[in-house]
Amino acid sequence: MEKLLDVKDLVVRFYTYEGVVKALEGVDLVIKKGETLGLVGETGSGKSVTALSIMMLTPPPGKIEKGKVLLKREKKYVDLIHQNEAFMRKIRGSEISMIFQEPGAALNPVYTVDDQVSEVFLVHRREALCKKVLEGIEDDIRRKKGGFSPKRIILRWERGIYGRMLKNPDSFLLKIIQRIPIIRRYQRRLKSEARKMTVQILREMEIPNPEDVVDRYPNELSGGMQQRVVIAMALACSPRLLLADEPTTSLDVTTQAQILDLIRKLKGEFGSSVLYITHNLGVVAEMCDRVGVMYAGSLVELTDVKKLFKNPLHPYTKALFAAIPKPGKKLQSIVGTVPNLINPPTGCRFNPRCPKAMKICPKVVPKMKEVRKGHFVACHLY
Amino acid sequence: MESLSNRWNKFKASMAPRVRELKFSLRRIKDSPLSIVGISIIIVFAAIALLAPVLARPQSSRDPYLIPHEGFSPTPRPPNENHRFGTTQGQYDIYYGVIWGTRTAFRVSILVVGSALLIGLVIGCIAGYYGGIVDEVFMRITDIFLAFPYIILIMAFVTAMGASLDSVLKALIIVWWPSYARLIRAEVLSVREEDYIEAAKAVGGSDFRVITRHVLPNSIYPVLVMASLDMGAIVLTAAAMSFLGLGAPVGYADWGQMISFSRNWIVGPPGNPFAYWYTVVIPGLFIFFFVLGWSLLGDAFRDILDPKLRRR
Amino acid sequence: MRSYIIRRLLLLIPVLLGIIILTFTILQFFDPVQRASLYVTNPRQFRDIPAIIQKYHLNDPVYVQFYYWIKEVLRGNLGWSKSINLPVTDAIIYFLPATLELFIFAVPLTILIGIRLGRISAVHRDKPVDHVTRGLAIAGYSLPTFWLGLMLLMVFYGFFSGLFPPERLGTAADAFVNSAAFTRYTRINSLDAILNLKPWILLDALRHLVLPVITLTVVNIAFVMRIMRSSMLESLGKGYVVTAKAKGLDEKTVINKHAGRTALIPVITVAGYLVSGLMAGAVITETVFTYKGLGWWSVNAAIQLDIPAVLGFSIFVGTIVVLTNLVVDLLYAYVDPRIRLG
Repeated sequence: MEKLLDVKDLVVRFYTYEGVVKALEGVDLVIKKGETLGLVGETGSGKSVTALSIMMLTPPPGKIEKGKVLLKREKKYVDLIHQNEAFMRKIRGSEISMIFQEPGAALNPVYTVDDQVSEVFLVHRREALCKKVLEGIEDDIRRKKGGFSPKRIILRWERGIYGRMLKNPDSFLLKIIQRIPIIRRYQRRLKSEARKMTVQILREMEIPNPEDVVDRYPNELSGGMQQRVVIAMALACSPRLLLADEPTTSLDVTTQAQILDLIRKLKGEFGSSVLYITHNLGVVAEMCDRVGVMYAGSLVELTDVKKLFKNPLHPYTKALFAAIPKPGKKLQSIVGTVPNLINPPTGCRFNPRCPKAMKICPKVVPKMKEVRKGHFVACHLY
Repeated sequence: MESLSNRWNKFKASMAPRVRELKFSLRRIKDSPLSIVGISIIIVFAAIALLAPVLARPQSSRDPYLIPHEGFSPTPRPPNENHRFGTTQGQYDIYYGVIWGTRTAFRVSILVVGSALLIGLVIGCIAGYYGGIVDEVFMRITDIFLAFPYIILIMAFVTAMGASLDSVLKALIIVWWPSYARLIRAEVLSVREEDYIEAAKAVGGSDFRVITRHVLPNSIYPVLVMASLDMGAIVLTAAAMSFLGLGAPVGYADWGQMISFSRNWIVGPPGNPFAYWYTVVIPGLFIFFFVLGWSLLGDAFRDILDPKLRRR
Repeated sequence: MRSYIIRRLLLLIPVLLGIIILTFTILQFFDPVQRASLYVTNPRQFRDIPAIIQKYHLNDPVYVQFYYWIKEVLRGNLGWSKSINLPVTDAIIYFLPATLELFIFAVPLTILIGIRLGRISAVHRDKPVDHVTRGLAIAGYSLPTFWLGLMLLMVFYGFFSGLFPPERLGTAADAFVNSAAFTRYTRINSLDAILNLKPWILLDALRHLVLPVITLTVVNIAFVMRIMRSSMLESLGKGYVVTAKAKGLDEKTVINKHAGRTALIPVITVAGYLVSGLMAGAVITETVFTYKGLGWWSVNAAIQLDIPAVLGFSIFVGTIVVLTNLVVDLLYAYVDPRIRLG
């Protein structure tokens, strides 16, 4: 399987009043085509920052200091860090998409579902929409044959506009026209075509009554429905990579199961790769092909799912598994707390809490090594 | 019996988070150019007010707040060696007027803010803490006061009480306390629901103790913001009242009063329209900078202390 | 939503009542002779003050007086304004259009400019643009309204010899407007000029409006800007802004469409306070420019101890502000889908 995304040595720092937060220290990730890579870790381990940084949306005051984010495009690898905003805007939403933890917060409360989902189509699928509109206009013109009527003139004019939009989408004339109140009604054709596509994708998300749902406001929908809308927005343009940041954490268990099923099904249909971020090992077991474990800004273990569950190597991973509540057994927690990333521990960041810490641990940062076939660990034990 | 040093250490430890927050606030003040400008302006004015008797020696027998005037000639005279900023209509010395006017300004603002704060504190605490009917009645009363544009209410009160600086002061206090009361009440309401209040009461703390030790420290910040902004707003309003002729009497050292003179002199003789600029510009500048200083400070406080905007 | 509306309307009553009670309390500062003027509708009645005191029980206990006074107020009789020689109610109707004309220009300007500045300030937070904008807004707010007015007059009326003069109309225009050739539909000069198709009157009216409107706007912009800024900052930090970016939308759309719209909603709540502040500003501005509107009349009356005028004005303004707040609250509930459909 070939690599779709290759993150090399990503370093992200946040410059705050309290100091410099070293959020990500040299993260290496590879996502292959069609696979689901899980990213596990506690809150504050840097999982979300990783996902946002892949899209070059690191929230300020964060900055990407070093590293490469290589995306495969047409046989070449492009380093996203060195691309300009215009390029990234084309990628976001159409080639790489993201879904978030709280669907209620991710949706704008003052715009309808139609408005928000159609936006994606209007930005990334303009050409296809224009063509459809033109077909519709031609039909209308044919139907109005014979006789002179204002409607015909308007239709002709609309045909001209859309033709121009097809050929030259950034034309200055169009930019001006879309600001003039009455004339810009021509856009309703575009919007109605986009709406059709929106209803279609909502239907694919297994949302009942999509025609009805499109006109609703997000706060009128349940959590599960909201998340489906968010997923619809993300998958609207069949992205090659979907970044899912704890999409089911805020949902109840039944809805969670439904959403997971949905994601799995869609992954098969659309053929996208998924980076699935979660702190729930159960979900990992269900959804992922390979898993990476993050702690305090670095990747500590990376392997495929079965191997991780059968034989976790890193002390942190082992502690995570041990901490899963099992009836009848005493609850095992991990000693200590997540370190402050302004002054992280030196060397291996886990060493203050590690039961197997050695003298070398606080001194040297362990590198990721392939300890067994396809199983990477960053620990001095190996 | 613990040793003194132990007790001191414990105290320091308990105060540590507060000290840290304070240090953080101070740093943010340092980093904000607007608040530094504001503080500097206020310091300058405070110095002027304190040094008034030195900067502009009052004539021995009279009330120092009455501006001296040599003669009664109506035409203002430009700055000269005798009168540093010139004289305004009726030969009142502008320099003297603005210097002692600084004192008046501080007097007015401190008195009004202080009284309004105190009254508002008491009423707000009571209303917020005891709730129920008391609270409802109180809320309606403040609604009414806040419904009126304050100037109009002040005008009405001053007309009723007779125009003078004292009436203006009283009217200002009457009009201003509702906003403080509202603020304190909101803080009390939010703190009242906290668990530690239950705990304090369970341990047998009296209401008074609970209020002073828990509620007040938490509500200081927004009150501070409001008080700083009000220092400026009150001086503006008082000046407006004096300007309209409803405040300080003629010849009193009050900035607004001095500008009311200059109404007749904004346009000079043809050919020299700015002839009497000093009658308008100088007192006005004093008002402007005084209010600016406090407004900058209050606005900076608001930015610094607003928990949502605080951390980057 | 419906319960919200009903509740709001019910709240109206005690507040209006309170305004009336408050005004009445102020009234009690005066002795019966002075208070008599509140019940008078034409000057001839002044000759018979004792009869008035008798008729309205001005020497009786407070609650009796209140009853009689309320009756008169509800009948529309607010007394006689001696400074203008008109019944107070008539005076209010007479002076209202002038102040309204000021508001027609000042309110949209203040809101639009304030919103724009607030938005710019929030988007470029802590950069020089932000500091400058905020500094200017605060400076505007710190300017004494009357001082700004005087300075503007000094420059634009004195120095530029009459470019933007005080008062409402120049002498020629004033004569024309009061003549038979001109129909005063609304008594709002600019509007009437358009309706009468007389562009030179329109120009004259506008010329006289420039300085007062600027004065009013400058002082109140800070208010709107401040709330827009904080509201926008909060909006920009919300999740849906990240979503919008993740969809590949450009900066402008993200800021204006997504963050901007939601940020505007809290600004509506301030509109009520804005009207209140503008009213206060109008009082001073009209006095400085001798612009004969409600504000000018009220100050004139206050100086001459024309009690009915001052009180009548207070009641009127209080009622308007309360109604405006009501409208604003209802508007707010309508605009925010979360409340409308919640």
